[in-house]
Amino acid sequence: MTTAQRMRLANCHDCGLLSRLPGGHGHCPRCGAALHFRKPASLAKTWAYLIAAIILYIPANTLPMMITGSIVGTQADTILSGVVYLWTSGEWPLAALVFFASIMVPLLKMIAILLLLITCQRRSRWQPQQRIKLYRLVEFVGRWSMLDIYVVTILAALVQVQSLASIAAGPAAVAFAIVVVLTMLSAMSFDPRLIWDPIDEEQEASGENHDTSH
Amino acid sequence: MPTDSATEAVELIACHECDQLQRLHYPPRARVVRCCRCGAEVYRYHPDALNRTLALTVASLLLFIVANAFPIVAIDMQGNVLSTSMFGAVAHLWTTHVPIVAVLVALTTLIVPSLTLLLLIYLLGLMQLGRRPPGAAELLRLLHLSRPWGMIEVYLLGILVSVVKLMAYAAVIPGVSLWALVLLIPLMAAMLGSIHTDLIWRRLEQLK
Repeated sequence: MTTAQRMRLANCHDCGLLSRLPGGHGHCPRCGAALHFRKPASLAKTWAYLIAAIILYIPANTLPMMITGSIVGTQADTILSGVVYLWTSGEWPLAALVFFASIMVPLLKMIAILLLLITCQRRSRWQPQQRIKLYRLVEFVGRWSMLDIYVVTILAALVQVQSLASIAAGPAAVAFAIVVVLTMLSAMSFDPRLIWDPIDEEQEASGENHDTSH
Repeated sequence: MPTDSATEAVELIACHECDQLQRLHYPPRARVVRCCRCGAEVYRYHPDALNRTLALTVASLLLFIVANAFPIVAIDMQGNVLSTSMFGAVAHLWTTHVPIVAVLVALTTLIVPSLTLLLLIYLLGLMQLGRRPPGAAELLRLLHLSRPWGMIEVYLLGILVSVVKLMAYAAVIPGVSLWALVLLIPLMAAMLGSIHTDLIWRRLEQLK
């Protein structure tokens, strides 16, 4: 098994061309993008975005997401109380959808990135196949957390009846939107090749060398 | 390293997820080539990919214009009929006190999708005419960078959730834009799936 890095070859992140990179730094001959073997400072950036996201996840869940005003008075709903309200009013499939997209997805995503970061930092060789699947899942599922933001956007724009009813986005919407952006940036700055590097180094040390082809 | 696309060649390719170096017969016999170690998609091939992308992009753009020109939904609340469009919803967020959220919603539902569609029409359209589009490298990089931030399918789900929530209080009238979005989502997904950056680059190199 040989990796591109060991052969001093690097994939262009933008156009996908494989080219020689003897010094470790250079530019892609085809599209001109900066070339490197691994994303620079990948772990540090991923940690930074993740920690910021974890901190903002607290106000995103404790502050009101949606403020509903009506003749009876105003009511402030957090994400969770909105889900509970949907559940008690009989809309349980919708409650499950919002609960999954707004609470479970961001939480599980942060836990997954944390797990990937800790295992890569410790240069763990544990379950690379499962960890790469986890990484793909994190990349795929992250965007769906925007659901609640869009719901608030549409409801706030629609429900504006003078003195009868009005809906406004609460401060949690800002925190939650930033959490979604930060977790996406965190997943993007993580370099999945770091999962495999310790395994490749071990194989290099043991002197194995298989060539593979399609 | 790529050679002329007309000839059969064996190329080296590295998996972008595990860095495994492997051989690729170009053009590949399979539509999707997977990494022999981690199973990631290392190469996707379709001989007519550029035409397919262009066709799907033009169709998506027409639907995207319709989706933006008409209201998404209207509600009838005790005689008050209220409606909103995609742009109207963002503008309302901007005027209330959450401009950061407004910027993010505008970016993910308006700016990135329209930018993607226009860039692809410009690049692939000129290439179809046999010309190398000026600024192709920068624009392709912009396309690659903006891709994760287009979230129009999540937006459609958000609209549907809002509609169900509102049905308890008011009569909900779906707008033309909603139907356009329902058609646009699968079209846009097919279009994004058909984008073939490496083939675009191979053609661009031939046009030099």
